[in-house]
Amino acid sequence: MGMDALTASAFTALARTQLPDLHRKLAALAKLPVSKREADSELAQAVSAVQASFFRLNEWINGQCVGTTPDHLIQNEIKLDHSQAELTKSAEDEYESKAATNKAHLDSLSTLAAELVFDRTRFTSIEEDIRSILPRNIANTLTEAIQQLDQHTKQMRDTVMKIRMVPLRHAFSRLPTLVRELGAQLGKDIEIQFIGESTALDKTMVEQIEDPLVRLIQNSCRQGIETPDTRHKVGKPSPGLIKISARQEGNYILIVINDDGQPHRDVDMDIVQSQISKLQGTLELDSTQAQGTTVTIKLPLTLAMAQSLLVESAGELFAIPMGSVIESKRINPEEIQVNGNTSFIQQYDCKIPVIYLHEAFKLDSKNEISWYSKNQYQRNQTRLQDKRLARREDRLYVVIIGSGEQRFGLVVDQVLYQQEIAIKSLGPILHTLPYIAGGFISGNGEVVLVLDLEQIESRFISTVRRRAA
Amino acid sequence: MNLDLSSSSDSFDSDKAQSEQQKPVSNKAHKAVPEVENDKFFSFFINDAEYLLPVAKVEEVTILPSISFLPNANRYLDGAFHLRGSILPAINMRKISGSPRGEPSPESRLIVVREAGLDFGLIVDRINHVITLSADHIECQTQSSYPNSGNFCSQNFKNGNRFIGIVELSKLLTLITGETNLDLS
Repeated sequence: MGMDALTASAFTALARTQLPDLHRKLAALAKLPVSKREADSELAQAVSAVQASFFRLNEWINGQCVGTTPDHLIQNEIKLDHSQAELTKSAEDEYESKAATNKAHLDSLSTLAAELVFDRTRFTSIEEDIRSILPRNIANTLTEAIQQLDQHTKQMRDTVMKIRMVPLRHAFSRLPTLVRELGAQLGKDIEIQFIGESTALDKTMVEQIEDPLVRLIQNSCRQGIETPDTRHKVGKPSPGLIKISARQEGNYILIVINDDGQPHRDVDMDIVQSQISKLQGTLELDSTQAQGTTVTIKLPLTLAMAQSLLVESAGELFAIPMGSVIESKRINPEEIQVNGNTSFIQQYDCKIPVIYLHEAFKLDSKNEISWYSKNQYQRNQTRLQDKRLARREDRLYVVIIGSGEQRFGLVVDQVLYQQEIAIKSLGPILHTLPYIAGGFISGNGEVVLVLDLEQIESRFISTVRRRAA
Repeated sequence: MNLDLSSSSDSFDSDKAQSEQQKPVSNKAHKAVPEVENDKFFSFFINDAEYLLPVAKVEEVTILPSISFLPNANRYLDGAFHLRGSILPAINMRKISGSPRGEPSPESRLIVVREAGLDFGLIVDRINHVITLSADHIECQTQSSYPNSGNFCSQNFKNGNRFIGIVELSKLLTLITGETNLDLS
């Protein structure tokens, strides 16, 4: 983590060296005829915006970042918990205020990095506008400088995002001690086991999941796991076992807490429930005589990093969480068989239902619906966009999605590449948007929507399956 | 006005008492004392019609950012954009006001506003300037430039013969959260 902070610092320093160069270009621009000045002033504005962002960022990194990265912070918080009794009240207060300051700084660093990416996007579009009116040698060096700025900004943004991600292990670290102490207190022999501790989540999420976990584990220890005598009588091994496993599944992170004790009703469940709801998650409880109790916490990827497959349909980009992708391949349109109003592709000896993403989302009529959306806007400005708009009727791609036996295919125009993305919530106004799990902000400042495959499947595919059955 | 420079603390107190007595009066004469932030309005254009927004509600004005299409969204939403890490919806102000279709131009702007703790953007054709209005300039009337303006303006600022609609963000919010294009057939 310390390394990440240093890398971020190095990128800032590098990116800042580009600025004097841009200033020289500005000076050259000033010599241009007055008619071209309007572009100049926009460029000047953009330069100072970027510079301001860099200065604030650099100040922050120099002043706060090195040596007090979140990893250390969390470690220290844990140490603090353990030795709380020994600490004087004043020292504790001082520490807490420092931790809070650092957290605030990290949040502001994330915001600044996002702002910088936006500034850079403005730069690029201004550059496109004024390139044609500049002497060639100036235009070329300007492009070069902006490309470098571009790269460093991206690298810095990625680094900042990584600083925010911490393994779930941090939320588990208090639990072994808790179990040991409770076991001793209750006269029970309890073991705790972790699986998938390295699953990464946004720092905020990891911090907020710890308390509900503590409550659930306390319940398992107090009410679930029996005393060694009782366990012996029912033929269970004398030490009780609590297992916590974490994994990513599709658009969610699953945390499963299982104990091999007797079925129990949990106290404080309403508190736990509301804590999980606050994180937009759900909670499921399953108690059986034979296997003890299993609690499954399902958290959305909202703040988490997820490997995603970027696809394009009718000129729009979408991200598909890789966790659900089985494969993606190029197909000929003839391979898609139509039966009534459902389409299939044949794979080995089974028929896989498919849907066309542009049909499901009515993307062909998007220009009637949306007058100002990006392609409409950028088509006037850049030729690059036109390439993305063209659908090749002779060449399609299908992304096979599935869990277990249930599979379906999404037909798209292009499969672009895989990318690790930080999925964000679409916020209170848009969160009801169907078939969309969230969005992320791409390197060039566009919002890219992340598909909610469960919803797509239940709306478009389940009926097909029922009909087929 | 007390011009006595040698005024003692006593006379200061009496001044204060005097001004307190006058307060209701000066409140009525609002025009002369436009010190309240709420009196300031941000003026912008949808097509060729001018509208006003309370300055206090405006978070930011930017050039038109990249706006991503939102499938199956409310029909007045043109898409989503990002502002400092948040993903926000953008309202097509031409469409919601019933004005003819427009295309983005170099003068197009996105006004980011906050209402009831929610941030969202308004795509407008041109921004103008900030003006200060007093209460007696504002009339409750539903005369409007575009067929549907009345849906989100219930007050107008009367400027000569012209009525300039004052946008009520709470009404815009109701319009964009009330319905979707969702086809569940």
